[in-house]
Amino acid sequence: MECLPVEMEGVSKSFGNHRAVEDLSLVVPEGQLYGIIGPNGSGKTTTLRMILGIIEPDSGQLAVYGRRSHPAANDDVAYLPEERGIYRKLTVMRQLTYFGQLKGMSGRAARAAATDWLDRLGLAGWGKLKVESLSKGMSQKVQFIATILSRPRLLVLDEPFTGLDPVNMEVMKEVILELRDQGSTILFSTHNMDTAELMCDRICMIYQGRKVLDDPLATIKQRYRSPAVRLVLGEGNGFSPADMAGVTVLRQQGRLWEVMVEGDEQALLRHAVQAGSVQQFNALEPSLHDIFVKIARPKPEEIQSMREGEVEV
Amino acid sequence: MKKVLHVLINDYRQIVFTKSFLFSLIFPVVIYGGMFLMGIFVSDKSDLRDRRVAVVDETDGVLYAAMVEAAEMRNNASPVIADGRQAQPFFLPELYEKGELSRNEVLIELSDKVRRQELFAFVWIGPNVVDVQASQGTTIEYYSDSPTYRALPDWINRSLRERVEEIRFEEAGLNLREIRRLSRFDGVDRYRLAERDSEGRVVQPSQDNQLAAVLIPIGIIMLLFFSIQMSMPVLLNSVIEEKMQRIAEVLLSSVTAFQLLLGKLLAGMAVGLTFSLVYLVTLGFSLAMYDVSAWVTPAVYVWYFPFLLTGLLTFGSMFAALSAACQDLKDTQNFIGVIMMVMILPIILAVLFIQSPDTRMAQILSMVPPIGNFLMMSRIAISPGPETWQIWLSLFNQLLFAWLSIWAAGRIFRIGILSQGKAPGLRELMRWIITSR
Repeated sequence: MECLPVEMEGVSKSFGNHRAVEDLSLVVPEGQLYGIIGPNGSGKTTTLRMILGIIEPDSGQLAVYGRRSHPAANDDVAYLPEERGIYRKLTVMRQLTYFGQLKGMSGRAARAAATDWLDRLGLAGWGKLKVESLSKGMSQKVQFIATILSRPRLLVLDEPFTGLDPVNMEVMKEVILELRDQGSTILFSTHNMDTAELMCDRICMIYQGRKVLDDPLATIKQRYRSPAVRLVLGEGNGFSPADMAGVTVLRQQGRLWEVMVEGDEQALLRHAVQAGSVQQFNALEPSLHDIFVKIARPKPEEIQSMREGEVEV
Repeated sequence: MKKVLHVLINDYRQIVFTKSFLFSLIFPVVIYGGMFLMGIFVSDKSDLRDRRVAVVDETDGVLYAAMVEAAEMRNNASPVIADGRQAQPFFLPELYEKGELSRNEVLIELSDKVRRQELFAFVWIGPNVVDVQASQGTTIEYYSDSPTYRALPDWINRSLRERVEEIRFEEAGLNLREIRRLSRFDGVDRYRLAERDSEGRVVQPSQDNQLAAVLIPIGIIMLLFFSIQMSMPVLLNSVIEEKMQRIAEVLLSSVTAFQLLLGKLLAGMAVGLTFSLVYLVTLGFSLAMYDVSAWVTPAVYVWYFPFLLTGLLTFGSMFAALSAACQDLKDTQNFIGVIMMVMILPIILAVLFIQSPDTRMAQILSMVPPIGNFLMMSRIAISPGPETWQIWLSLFNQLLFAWLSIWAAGRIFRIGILSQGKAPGLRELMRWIITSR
């Protein structure tokens, strides 16, 4: 039977008196983009480090591709830490070749793959330069290439988009999704809920070391779907949802209405169509951020910190 | 093992192919070679200008005559004339008649002549230089504008002294030459022991070189010290960089902590070997060139490398563990001081033991790791060297200690390389060694 990339059961980890992760269980399915989300300090990085075998759990069971006791070093797994680590004095190509070789690639294969990726990520011609001469964004791309160079089965990315400008962030997202489509399993942590919502197949939400949510994104959205709808009326349509019984207006701006409907939402649509044309009618899905606020009830400063983290340029 | 090799190659390249390392490695060799070449070059370019020296002789020309005679002998013989060519400048005394001039007038006139380079120097021989009873006028004064040039005043001193002594002995009714003949003593010449060659013939013992007998053992352990000392700080910097820049986390997702440590230790060993090889080859070449290869016995070359390797492994483990445990170079200073003391102690002991390398204390300490690496090498370098079983026993002890050091370093390294925050104390390090898996 094929082993799953990651299986955790009742894992806990403390640092001194601080409980970083508590009774965490999760399963990362093969070939999926699995996001671990939560505010800063919620235990995401500790969880990833335990999965990588860099630190050991105090209790619980943990297996990576079925291996319960595994060293950090694993050619099937690649890791991009949050705090980037590359040799500043080495040339880009030498660095990539070295990291590729440590993942079991031959020097020639590593150089060829590095050349391809440098070209693809807009760093062609930079291979002979030392990393210290690159900009921060370029260095991050070099580290990202070093991580994916060997095309690992499991890619563990800790806050991969931190510090990237929007253009490079999009390039990186594209590559991550492509790797997922080609069969790699991607496990990444972020405190940016919007990014997770856009990319992940499955979400695990951690708050204060505990798991508060772990499901496919569609299931989560379905589960926390609210009865609110957005209605955009056509030109000349004088319909007013406020006149209907059981409808509470959340927001109204010109011909745009956001309303809460008690009962049948289709009745609202029928009334609107009878009054004239309708440009848009859809359910208002809660964002992951909204869901997190709803189920975790975090402190205001944690919400603020997540909002600030949404766009880091 | 392949990953260890990649770590080794990467670290070796990062250490050795830097301007600072290459400079520190090659600079002394270049200086040495340069001095040698310069010596050859300069030997043909000596200053051969005549050294004209005016002589004011108040002994009625007695000592001037002696100077002229001595100068003629000198100027026509070796080493002034070598292979039929002039190799050193001629010394040419010229008698100066002062006439009615006062002492000051003579001094000024002759000084001006020296300044105008008509003369190189002048000598004033007092009237009573020969008289043993006199208390005034007994000196010989030498005046020149070249205070660093010693050959001429030394020669004047030597040649006039001989003549003055001769006159005094004659006046006392003694024959100086006879006295010199009777009091001749050639001193003690030191030789090594006689031995037979493979065909049973007695090989003539070679003469001992006292300077070499002392310098070679000291030089060998200094080379051992510098080979270790050169490679360890770079190992330390490399580990601290990987820890501080968080490269270690990336590396540890590809190699185990022990593989990383081993790769680094082997890289440090390779650096130390490179350093030693450059200097041992230079030493061997130099000795062969001057035909004194016997100063360093083959045993030194044979045993040097095993003791170097155990030293590198032992001290390399200490440095690697230390750098993994500390947060930055500042944190390491206290620990480095202790390790350096351990490395310097045997050098001091070796100097003390150099006259008696086979005392009980020297034998015991040369077995004790890690100082035994240095002490045993110094004993090997002093002829005839210790008994072979002592060398093997010492090497075994050093190897055992190196293995223990690597084991302990592996445990500290595994925890330390990922630890952040305050640097651990000695007690905490011991706890890491005991509890780490």
